[in-house]
Amino acid sequence: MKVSKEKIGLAVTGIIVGLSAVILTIFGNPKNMGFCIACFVRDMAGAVKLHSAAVVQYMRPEVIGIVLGSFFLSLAKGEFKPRGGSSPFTRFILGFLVMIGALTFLGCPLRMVLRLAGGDLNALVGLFGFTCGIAVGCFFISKGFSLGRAYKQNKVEGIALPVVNVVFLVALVAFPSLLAFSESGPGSMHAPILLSLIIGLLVGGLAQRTRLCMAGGIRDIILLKDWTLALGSVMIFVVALIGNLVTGSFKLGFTGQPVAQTSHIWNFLGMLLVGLASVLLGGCPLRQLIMAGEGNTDSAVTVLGFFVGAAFAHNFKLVGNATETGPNVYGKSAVIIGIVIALLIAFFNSRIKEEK
Amino acid sequence: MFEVDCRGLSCPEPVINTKRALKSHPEGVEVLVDNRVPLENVTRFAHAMGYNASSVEKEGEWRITIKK
Amino acid sequence: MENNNQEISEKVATFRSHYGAMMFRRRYGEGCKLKPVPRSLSSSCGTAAFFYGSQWEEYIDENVEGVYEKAGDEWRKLYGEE
Repeated sequence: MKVSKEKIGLAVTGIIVGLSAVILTIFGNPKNMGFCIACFVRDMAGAVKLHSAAVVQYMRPEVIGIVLGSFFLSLAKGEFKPRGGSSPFTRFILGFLVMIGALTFLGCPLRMVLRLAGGDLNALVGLFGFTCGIAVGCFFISKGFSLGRAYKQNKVEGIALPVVNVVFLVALVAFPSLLAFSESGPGSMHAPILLSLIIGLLVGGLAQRTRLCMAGGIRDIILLKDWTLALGSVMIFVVALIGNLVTGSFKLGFTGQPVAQTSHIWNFLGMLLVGLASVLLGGCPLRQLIMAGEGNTDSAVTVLGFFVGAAFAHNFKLVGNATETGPNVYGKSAVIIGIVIALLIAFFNSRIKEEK
Repeated sequence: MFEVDCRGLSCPEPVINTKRALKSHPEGVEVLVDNRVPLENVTRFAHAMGYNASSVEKEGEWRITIKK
Repeated sequence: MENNNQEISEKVATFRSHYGAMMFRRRYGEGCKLKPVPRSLSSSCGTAAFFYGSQWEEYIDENVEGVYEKAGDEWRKLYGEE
């Protein structure tokens, strides 16, 4: 069977992302957290004091790099297309819900893959939940779910989020006293700024060229029996696994895993919410960053939803400190309510009634 | 050119017969179909194998010429 | 009356939503296959309909964004806005 250029590109991208994750962990990022879009956006929300959870406040250059890497590469290839207007507020809500689910599991889909590669079996539970959520989302898509088409926007609208990221970077590098920096906990564990930034730019560019997406990988298998996108996720896993084995940071099991909780139900349900909402949004959190870099303001609004969701989650102690046993009663309620809201959004934007 | 008559056959026979014919006649074959579905599937198969395909239509039947 | 021997080219239709792709496939018939949109055609992920027939105009509706024809390594636009 001919191996397409697309498959090669995704495999190479997966390899580089897996390698980068291991490198970033060696140089200071928390274990099994070379990348975590959810945790990192939450850390950035803390850095600008949207929340005051002292252990998770840091302006993560990886996220800035990813957005800008996608931005520069899409400009260079003529793929920068400011567009938006496809149910933006619904997307804000869905982004909010993704963050609730992800912070309950303690990872975005990309970190889920990295945790699996680190031997964290809680991530396997998460993967089952993620896949179920995607399957539910695919059901609605096959029933005509759509948030409506996007319309061309003008250039200023399209570059707004990339510019915000530049402002964040300038603050981090030149005016750090404006920001909050954790002195302990995961927010204090980070690789050097320049390394994080450069790796972020590289990953952002590659992910833009190849459309890398954890949720899309599983969605395309379910809807179209196509494995191309999934190949990227698989390569990330394989390379990160090898890297962890080589560096001795592989540890198989449920307990004692870094920045993780062991409640099977809530790992499952948290990632189910992430999977469902991500499919309704058209991409996992990494993909949202990439699309925002390409000028997609619907994705920019989704990223805003991530920020606000993270702030709410910590301000209302929905996730609180990462206790190993799982979320408190508020966190559990938030996940359940989140799943219900996502299902309502899915139902009312589908054509289930029409088909009858 | 070697001819494969797939008229009246239903999926996946046209593709299977074409595949078998191309194995013994790799320089090319002509496939007869009387339905648009095998026209699509046989052409898709030919392209996937690296061949070119062209067709002539006559009274609801197609003669697909497959060659390099 | 015989038509001239015509090269069959691969064509792909892109849509505003996966649902639009599904409806197109339903109208067109079995010969049409749904697969991800080729990267060379778009930086967005979505579902596209691949087919070979030459009479496709009758299946177009408002959900169709564009129709392209394979020309070497690239896609040539046959239908679409902007």
